[in-house]
Amino acid sequence: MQKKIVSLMLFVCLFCLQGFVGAEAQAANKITQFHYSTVKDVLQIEIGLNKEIPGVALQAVDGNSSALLLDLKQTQLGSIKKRIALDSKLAQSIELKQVGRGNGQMIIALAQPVSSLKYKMYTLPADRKTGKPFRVVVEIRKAPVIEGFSADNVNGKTIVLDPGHGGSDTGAVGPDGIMEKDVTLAVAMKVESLLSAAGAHVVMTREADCDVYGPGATDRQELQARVDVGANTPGADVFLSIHANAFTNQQAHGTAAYYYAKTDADGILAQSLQNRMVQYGGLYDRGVSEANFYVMKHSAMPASLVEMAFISNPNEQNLLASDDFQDKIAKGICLGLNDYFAQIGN
Amino acid sequence: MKKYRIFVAAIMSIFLLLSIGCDSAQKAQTPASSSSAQQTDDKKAVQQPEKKTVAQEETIQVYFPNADGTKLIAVSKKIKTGNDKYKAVMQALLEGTTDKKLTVVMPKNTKLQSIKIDKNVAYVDFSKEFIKNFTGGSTGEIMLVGSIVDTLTEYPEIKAVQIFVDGKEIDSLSGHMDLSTPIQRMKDLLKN
Repeated sequence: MQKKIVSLMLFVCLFCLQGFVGAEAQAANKITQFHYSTVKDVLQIEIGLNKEIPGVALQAVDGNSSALLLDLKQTQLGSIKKRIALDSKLAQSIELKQVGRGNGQMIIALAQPVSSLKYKMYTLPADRKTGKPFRVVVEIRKAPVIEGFSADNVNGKTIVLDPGHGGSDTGAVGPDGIMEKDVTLAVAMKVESLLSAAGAHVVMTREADCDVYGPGATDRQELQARVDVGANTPGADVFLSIHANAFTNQQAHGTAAYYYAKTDADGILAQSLQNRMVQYGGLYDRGVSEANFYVMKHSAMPASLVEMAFISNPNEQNLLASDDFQDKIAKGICLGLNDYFAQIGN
Repeated sequence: MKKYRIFVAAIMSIFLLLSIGCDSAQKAQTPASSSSAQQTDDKKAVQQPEKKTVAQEETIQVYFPNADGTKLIAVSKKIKTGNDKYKAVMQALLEGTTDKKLTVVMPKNTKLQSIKIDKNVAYVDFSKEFIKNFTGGSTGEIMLVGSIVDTLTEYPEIKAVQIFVDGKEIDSLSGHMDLSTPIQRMKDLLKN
């Protein structure tokens, strides 16, 4: 009986809420604030609105490689200036337009080609305490470039990157709860960005926190799904799985690379990666070992699985979670691949 | 209303019957049931009477990883060699070690269900805790599997080891090693 009352109340609440939202939607959404700043070489553009809007999207403008377009659904521009010059090395100005049935649009004129920049968009809810309204934020930064990276060797190569674990499988979990699946993805995304900038064609087994086969799959289905990404990528030169290590004893530490000796190239790949990961990551060198890991054994192309550091070791867990170490190890992985292609190309 | 209830009851009993059917089918498929494993070992023991005349206690080498998980270290243990020597060897590994320089990697509460030797391959069957309570990455997997394989392959009649859990083949432990086929002695872990 109690349950019935609760569900009835819920229903009534939902009904009321719907009426409320419906009435709100009729009143126009309006831009009330505009603000931009540059912090640590990141340009942040913030638009405040009197309330949450139904849709926002950011994309590069078709046919124009130096502008970004922000769509603001059902938004009135209000009394805000329509053209604002920006004092930034990344973008020159923004222009606001009213398009179609009351939708708003913001065009960001960039100061350099979009290919050399990284950008993202997110929204922030209204905050009554600070008096801040609902905000749409655009962040623009320079795409990372590797110093001393000779692009010659990875240029034109096809590389399959496999961020270990993901979704229902957390992988190993560190003493402070840092999850392997998150750090493997973060580093893989950095590696992807560096390799793409150097002219490589990169295919990812996953680009979000998800299972590759699907939740509830057997280990074999999940691992085979990753191998299949490589098998279904024409001309894939390398399969690289990125992991963080773990051991019962928290003392265990360092960097390692594994290979399955299908061909001589497998061992060369692991050694090249290991050398540069140790050089750039600066951790203890556990060396290169043979192992019958599923993804290496079942990939047709040369493959390696790298263990960047021990997530079970408190110090290395913190490193794995830090942007700085992730950048360093990602750079090491890219240079390791570069060395590998240099060596086997001859 | 009554008709409806009867209908529901009928559906439920069909499901119940189906689930019982599935259960018994699974049990029948179990590849390495413990009773058959013990029987084959008993037969071998009977066929080789010289082993029975050996003293009831035997000193064996059981492998445990070092603190850093870079290699396996042999620990001498005394076991009672009854009819089921290999079972006693695995129990010695499950017991662990108190040596603080070494690490116990066997997942907590893991029990040995059975061990059977067939054509130089040892089939070791552990309880579900072997996977459920495993915590570790590549190194954890390699050291755990290595400690089992290298301890058993100390016996020349055992060339490889395959691990089962609750009578079923396993694909992997935590998504690294391919454990669907027998694993040969992992010599690299014994180097100094």
